[in-house]
Amino acid sequence: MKPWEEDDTFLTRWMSGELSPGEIQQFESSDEYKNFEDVLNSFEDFESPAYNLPREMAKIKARVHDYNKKKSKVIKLRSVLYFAAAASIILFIGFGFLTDLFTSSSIEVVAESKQKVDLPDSSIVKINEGSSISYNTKKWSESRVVKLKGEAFFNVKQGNKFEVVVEKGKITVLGTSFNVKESEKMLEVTCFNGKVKVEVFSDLKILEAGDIYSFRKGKLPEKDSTILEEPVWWGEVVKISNKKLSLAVAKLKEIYEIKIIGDFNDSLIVNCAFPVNDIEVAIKQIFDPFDIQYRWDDEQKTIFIE
Amino acid sequence: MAEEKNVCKESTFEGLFQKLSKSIRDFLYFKCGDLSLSEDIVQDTFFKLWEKCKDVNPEKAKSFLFTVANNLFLNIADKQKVRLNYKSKVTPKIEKEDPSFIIEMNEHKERLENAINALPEGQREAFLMNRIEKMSYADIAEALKVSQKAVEKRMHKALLKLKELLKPKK
Repeated sequence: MKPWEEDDTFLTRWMSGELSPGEIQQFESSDEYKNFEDVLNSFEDFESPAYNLPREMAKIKARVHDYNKKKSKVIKLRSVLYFAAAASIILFIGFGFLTDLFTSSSIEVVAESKQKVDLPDSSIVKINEGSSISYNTKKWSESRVVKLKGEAFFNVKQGNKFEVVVEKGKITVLGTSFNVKESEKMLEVTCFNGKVKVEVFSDLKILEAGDIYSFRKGKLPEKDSTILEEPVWWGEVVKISNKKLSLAVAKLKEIYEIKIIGDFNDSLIVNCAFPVNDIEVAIKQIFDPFDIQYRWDDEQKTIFIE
Repeated sequence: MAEEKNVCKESTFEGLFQKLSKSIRDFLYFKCGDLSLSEDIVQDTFFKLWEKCKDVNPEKAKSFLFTVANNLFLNIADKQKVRLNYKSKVTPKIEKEDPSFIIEMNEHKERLENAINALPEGQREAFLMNRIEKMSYADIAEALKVSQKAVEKRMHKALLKLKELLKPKK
């Protein structure tokens, strides 16, 4: 029996040079050896058809670029830097889809009229009429999550990630001030200070002070940086645009009839807005962007700058 | 610098195209003998790689590409009942212009083509990928999704059959 008839990988081993010298000798002395050799040699000259690499490369690149362009219309990611200073955030929280995520230490607040809520870490939520929030006090130190239905303004103390969950998505901050308004058809997030990350479906936006993210079903999300609208529904607000800190402080003193003791650089340029009926929020709005350390003494109605 | 875990960088992606697109084109061509179909599938294959670039490790890219190309081919072949008609594009390296010699060359070429055509697809693929693409048995096994042993058997059978078909007529 010929070796290539008994052994079904004999020829393969021959082709890759794996036959033993004895096997090779036996093979080469056979009648049919030449036939096998001729067949292999015939295919030595075989080539596949010419391949126009530059042309094919150009084709795939064009297709990739078209695809990228379509994708980038929806998402423009920036590097994730949440924010520099702790600014106050106003969040609107939405209800309606409370799950069993929250255990019995979960708190739900339904605002019949405007209501201010202190969260376990001293973050503040101001809830608009008819809106509601819920959160879990036990888990608060590890995970600050508030669910919102409706409209609320959040003033978040700097710390761990703070998340506001609404039906359409999620707003994440580390400590800043922002406004969230949501309904079935829309979601609007206004950043007053610091940076806010908004995630709606697969859309991700990072907002900075003055940015508004607005999402309406069927429309592309917009980013508007002209309006700095505080929660007008909450109360009156004073807006300061591109003025010196000294002016902002003067206004603050006038409105709240308070004193300020301590040194700070009062020619810093300020861009903020503060409410006229909440001194703590007001102070935060003005001083936090500059990382000015202060202590508010409610009894003495004085701000001590450190 | 952190090592790249995916192929989403354009330079990485283009590098892969440069390195592998011809092999994939040939792989498909050896199956069906249809050049424009093969090249279309190559484009679709690499586009799929780009769409899924986040999930593909550069080291696994070759395997991914062959798998996708094969699947795309199977979808189409199934619908169109594509069959091979492999035609070589050999330019004989001869200076002679003796017409009878050229005729002989062409006849020889045709015999080779017919012989290749006569092989079962699995044997033909393995044989051509090894002899023309110079792919290793291991790589062929990965691309065809069979064991290396299976590839070796196919190689052996292919050569055996070709030898029978191409035996000089007496």
